[in-house]
Amino acid sequence: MLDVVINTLVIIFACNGIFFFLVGTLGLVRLPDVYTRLHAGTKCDTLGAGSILFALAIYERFSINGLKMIVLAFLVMVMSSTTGHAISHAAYKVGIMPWRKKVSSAFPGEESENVTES
Amino acid sequence: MSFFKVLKSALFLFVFWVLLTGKFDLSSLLLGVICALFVAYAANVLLKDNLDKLEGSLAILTRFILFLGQLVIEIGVANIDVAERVLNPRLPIEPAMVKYKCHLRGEDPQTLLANAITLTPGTLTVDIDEEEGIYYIHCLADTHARNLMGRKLENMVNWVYKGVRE
Repeated sequence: MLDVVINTLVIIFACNGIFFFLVGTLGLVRLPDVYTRLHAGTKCDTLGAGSILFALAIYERFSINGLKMIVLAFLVMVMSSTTGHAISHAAYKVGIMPWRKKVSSAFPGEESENVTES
Repeated sequence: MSFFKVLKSALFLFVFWVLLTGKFDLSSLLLGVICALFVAYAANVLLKDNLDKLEGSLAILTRFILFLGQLVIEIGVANIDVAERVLNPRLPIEPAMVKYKCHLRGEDPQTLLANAITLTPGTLTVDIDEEEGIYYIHCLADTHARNLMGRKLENMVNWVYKGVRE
């Protein structure tokens, strides 16, 4: 009985993690510039990796190996926020302007330079 | 260099050692004690200036762990919003750079707030002006910027370090 409950929880958390990894990767392809891509890359992957690691911790029944997974999840959290900040800071210092939505100008032929890809 | 301080960091390192090795026999525990003491001593000698600036106490640590729990819930809720935007075929995003002035003072609270903002989906800390306490934050959409202006995260960080809720 307990096995069934544990396995169900593991499957739920693992599927949740896979879903957010998928969304993060999709966002990396779909979003237009470095800053917005960082949003997808750092956030969805944090939750994805976090819940997969949590699923593994449940699978190990919070034994010593399971606790290692929790520590790893914490380290992933710290790491992704610092690397996200480092990359965006570097991009900002180099002078990459954030992408803006294309605004149609009142004068024909003077449209904004940012062109939407999708 | 205080002996007590070295002992305190050695204790933390030792707990981490036990977590990572996962063995409880005498030889590995003894090796852990030796390594923890050595690393704590070396860190205290080499990084003395940086370590003195860290504010830390057991009360802050407990509140920090509670804060982490709250933060994980926030991340989960906001992540669904970002996932919706990414999966939506029309891609409804309006990215913008936002200036945010915080009232926190000190390096530790400001760093914690910056990391918490970066972890919350939809907002990304790009640059900080430490003296003025101004954050330059990239937002994925208007709603995220408005959520940020609710100052919920800042109040939470303030609670971690001061112990009072506003």
